[in-house]
Amino acid sequence: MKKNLRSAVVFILLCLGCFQGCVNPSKESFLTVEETSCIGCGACVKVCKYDAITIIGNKAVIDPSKCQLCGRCVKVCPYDAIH
Amino acid sequence: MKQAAVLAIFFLAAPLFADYQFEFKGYDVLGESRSGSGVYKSNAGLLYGVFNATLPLSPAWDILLSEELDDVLRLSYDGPAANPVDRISPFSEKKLPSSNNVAAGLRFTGLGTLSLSFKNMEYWDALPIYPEFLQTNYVSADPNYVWSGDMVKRQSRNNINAYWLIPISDFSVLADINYFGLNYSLDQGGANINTFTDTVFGSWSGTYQDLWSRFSLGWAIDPAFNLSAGVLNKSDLNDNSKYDLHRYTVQMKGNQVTLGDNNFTWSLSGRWYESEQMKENGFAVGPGALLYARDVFTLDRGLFLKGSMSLEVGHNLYKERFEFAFRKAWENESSVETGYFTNQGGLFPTQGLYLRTKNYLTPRFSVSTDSKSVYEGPEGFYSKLINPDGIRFIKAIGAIEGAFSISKHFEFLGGVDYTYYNSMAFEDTDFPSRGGVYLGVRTWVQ
Repeated sequence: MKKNLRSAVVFILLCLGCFQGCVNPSKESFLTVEETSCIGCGACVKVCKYDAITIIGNKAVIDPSKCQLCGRCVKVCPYDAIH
Repeated sequence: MKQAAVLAIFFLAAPLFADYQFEFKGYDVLGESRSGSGVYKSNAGLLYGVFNATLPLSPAWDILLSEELDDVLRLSYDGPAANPVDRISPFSEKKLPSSNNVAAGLRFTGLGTLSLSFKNMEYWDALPIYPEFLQTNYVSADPNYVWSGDMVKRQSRNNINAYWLIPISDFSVLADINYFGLNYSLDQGGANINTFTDTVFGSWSGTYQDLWSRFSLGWAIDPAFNLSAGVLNKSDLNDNSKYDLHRYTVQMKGNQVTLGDNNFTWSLSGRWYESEQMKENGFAVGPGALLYARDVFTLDRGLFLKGSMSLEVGHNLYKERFEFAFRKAWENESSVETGYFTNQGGLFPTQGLYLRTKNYLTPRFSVSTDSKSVYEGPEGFYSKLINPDGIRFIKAIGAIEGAFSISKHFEFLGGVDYTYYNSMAFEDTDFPSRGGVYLGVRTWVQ
């Protein structure tokens, strides 16, 4: 039992630590704005071609009903806060 | 340029304000993008200016002013190209917009903090946008023309905001309501069946409006632990409820908990999305959870090791982000920070390395450097737009800035920066590589 638990913990730690992208992107995933990194500078608002981003409470908020996943905001963000 | 004149007037009037921040920079930017055999270059003089200030009217009332002129993202290909035929870039998407953002507001501090503000953003050289949500069927076309497409461009964006934060003992109530109105122009294109020429046979303008409202209730059980629940609603005001959005959240948060040499912050949130359009687009609606943790470990005086992680899970959804950083700061405010971050499981799985330094060579003169490289792995791109195979991007940034202060809160600055983007021909998500040199001033009082 203890051995299994230890194996599971080691597996999880190794998995979290390797960052090789084994976690496949999920079909239903949507863009996330890291609220701790975003400062609301608005660079993403300017480059969005779908008018899908607004600044609310000094943070970027992406409207999932308009976003077309082109990724321009991901590239232009100076703080890499969108992924 | 009149916006620069407005900034100059604000700067001269700065002593009237209780607190203010002013920064103005003049850039000379060189850009380059490659496509096939063509090399597209530009050289433009650009401006950046920002002014934020508070003008007290009475102990309870303040006027808030803000002006931001941002020309720096702009880049247009009107310079010489390798091939004279290619003097104009075929990629209109590479033309980035300039903007002027002006805001004024009134703040009341009494029963909590209440503020009302109006913000206007003007777009120049705006990108064409392709909003399927706009009502583009304005008129019936002339029978001599065959419809060949609409061109929609943003003209301006208006925002009216009402914000009220009320602390009552250990509780806090927040109401934040935002109206957004996007003014756009629409050119309807057509091909003349008699002359076989394309033309614009009609130009219209319109406004797309939506209302965002955010309400939350917080309970500080302990200075370092609180609970909150909130709702974020978007209402489409164009009679199209398909684009409405509702997000409900509950959150537990441990804030700045000190455990020995560790400073630990964590949060656990549950959220629920409801949106007809999200469902139609295939995004995860319904329940989801987000775990965030950050620890700052003090190794020695001024020497810190930082680590943070966030996990987002939901139905068919698993995203993770990790960041590790190391920071050393000295008593004269010089510092060096380096770190690594990675995002996995999302649509844009990026990894990046960064190194930032600030070195006070003398008490008045400092040199800052900033370098970063970001890579997006091709395996993670799932795009609805075009064939995603092999798409990835690399971004590398290098910058050096020198600042010379003539008083505690006034400094002259100058610097060079360069941003590299790898080129992906015919990708509308492409950005040009570009370098710039700038001079400016920065002043602030708090």
